[in-house]
Amino acid sequence: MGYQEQPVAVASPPAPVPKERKWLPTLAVFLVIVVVTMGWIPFVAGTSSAIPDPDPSPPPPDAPIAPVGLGVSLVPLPGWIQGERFEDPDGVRLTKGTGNLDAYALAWTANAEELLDDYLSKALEPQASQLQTSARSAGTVAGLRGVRVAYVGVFGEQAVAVEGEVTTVVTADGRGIVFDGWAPQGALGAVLEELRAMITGVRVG
Amino acid sequence: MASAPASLPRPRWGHRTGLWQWRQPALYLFLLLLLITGYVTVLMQTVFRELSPEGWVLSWFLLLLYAVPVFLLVYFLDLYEREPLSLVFGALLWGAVGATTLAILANNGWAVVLSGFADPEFVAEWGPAILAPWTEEILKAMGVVFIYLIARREVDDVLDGFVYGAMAGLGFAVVEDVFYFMARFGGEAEGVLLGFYVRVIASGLYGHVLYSGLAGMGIAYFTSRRGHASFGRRLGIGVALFLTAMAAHFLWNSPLLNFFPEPPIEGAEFVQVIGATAVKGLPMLAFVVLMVSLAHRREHRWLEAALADEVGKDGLTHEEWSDLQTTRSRRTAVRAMRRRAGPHAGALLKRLHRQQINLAMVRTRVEDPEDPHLVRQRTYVASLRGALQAVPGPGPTT
Repeated sequence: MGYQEQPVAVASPPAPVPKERKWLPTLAVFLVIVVVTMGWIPFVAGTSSAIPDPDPSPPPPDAPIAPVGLGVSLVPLPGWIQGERFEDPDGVRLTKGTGNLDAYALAWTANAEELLDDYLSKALEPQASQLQTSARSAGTVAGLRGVRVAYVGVFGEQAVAVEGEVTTVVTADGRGIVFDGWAPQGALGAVLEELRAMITGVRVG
Repeated sequence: MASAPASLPRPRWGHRTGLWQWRQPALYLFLLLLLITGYVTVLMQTVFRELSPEGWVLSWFLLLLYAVPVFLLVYFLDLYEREPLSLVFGALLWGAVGATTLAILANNGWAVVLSGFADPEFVAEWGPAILAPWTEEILKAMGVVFIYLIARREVDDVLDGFVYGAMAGLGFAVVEDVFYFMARFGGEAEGVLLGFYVRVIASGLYGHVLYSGLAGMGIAYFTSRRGHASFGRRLGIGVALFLTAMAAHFLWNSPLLNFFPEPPIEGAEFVQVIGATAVKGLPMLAFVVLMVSLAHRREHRWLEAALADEVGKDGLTHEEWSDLQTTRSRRTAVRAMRRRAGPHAGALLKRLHRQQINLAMVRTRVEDPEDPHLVRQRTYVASLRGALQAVPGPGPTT
């Protein structure tokens, strides 16, 4: 087929067309794209400005803290509010928009890798209809050796997938701490830095 | 042959251009955005590939099986004036790279705003229906607008708008499906196959290709009918088509009319999935088929208008005109010729038809019925007819 083949005669000058506006429509397209993709920023910024202390970091010594359990507590960054509390093990959820940080503290004598295995197999996998995890990375969190893994999964009846990052650390005196920072897929990147800052700032009493 | 209505606007089929219009500022913005979003897309695909290499390869393989036929179907919808491939691929790339990446940014950002007004359960259930229809449809439609701003003469009919819009929708659908296969369906081979069944086999006829195609028709109606319809009418119909696309997208994403089985899907529930997608998607498919049919009819009227003066002249006999009018009649004539006089004669007749269509394109470009270019094209067509008649046994040219 291929009726797109050029006609034999192609050299004829094109018919006159009205003068084209080139810059204005291009600018209009750019503005539309900016408004659609970033128009939400003023609304979110407006929410943050309502918070009394606008200084994002570092948290002052007298900043409100969110107790996790076993003497472990988190210092919510501005904009993060304490949500529900968990029991068995003790824990707390901090939220900001669609971002969440779940933290748990429990007695734990094994290492951080095993704590991570335990959390994945007993907490995340049973709730997930689909779950993908990344390779693990080791590092130091608040002076403690920690292990970190990223995941993407579908949980319960949620219409959107969730992505998250689990970090586990174990203290020398036998306390295990699990941090699960999560958000709807695609939204984690917007809060990841703050999640990691709060994890780094964990207070172990 | 019916004479063309006097008010029928003259198509500009004879003018052809491509994507690389360096004098158009829109091209630079288009390329810049593709460069930025392309980088993000590569990063995302790298993450998926690292999560499950086999699932990622399988996802792309299966989606190409779907995308290639759809691409050809859309591309060949335009019976007479096929769009330049550089522009078609430009629209496809915009949908796959630009619109998807920007839509992630938009959907996630506006979800944060929505979550400030509604509880998380509502956001999880209704968020995709409230946000995606307008963010994604606008961003995909920007691909059609870019194509128009880069090569205005190529978007001269609503069918052109459908082709470019549908291509943007196809690109978007493919990349979004990879995202879903890897993230929502687990990324392993079994999950990818299930995702392919749910999102492509059961839903592939509906979705982004239709929405964006319809939105593209709206844009093309607004831009191509200038001088033939009032501004209010052009705007009204253009917006109405765009809103229809958004409404169909809303219905698809919403919990309304949701007859999908609860996961995990087993046994007869696989059939239920096909019924569930049909309930949501079939009305839109029917509407788009109707719109495309109307556009085809209009294209045919244009062909009549373009060739009205040519029938009976050197370039087109009355018999040839009757065969030229539809794809089916052209194919029938070529098959008959092949049977009668062999494959060479069949190929010559096919070429004759092509050059007669091109005769219409030249005719739309010149004012004077005896313009030298037109005369030259007539002569060329007549020489093809002569060559065909020289083949032993073809009989009449058609």
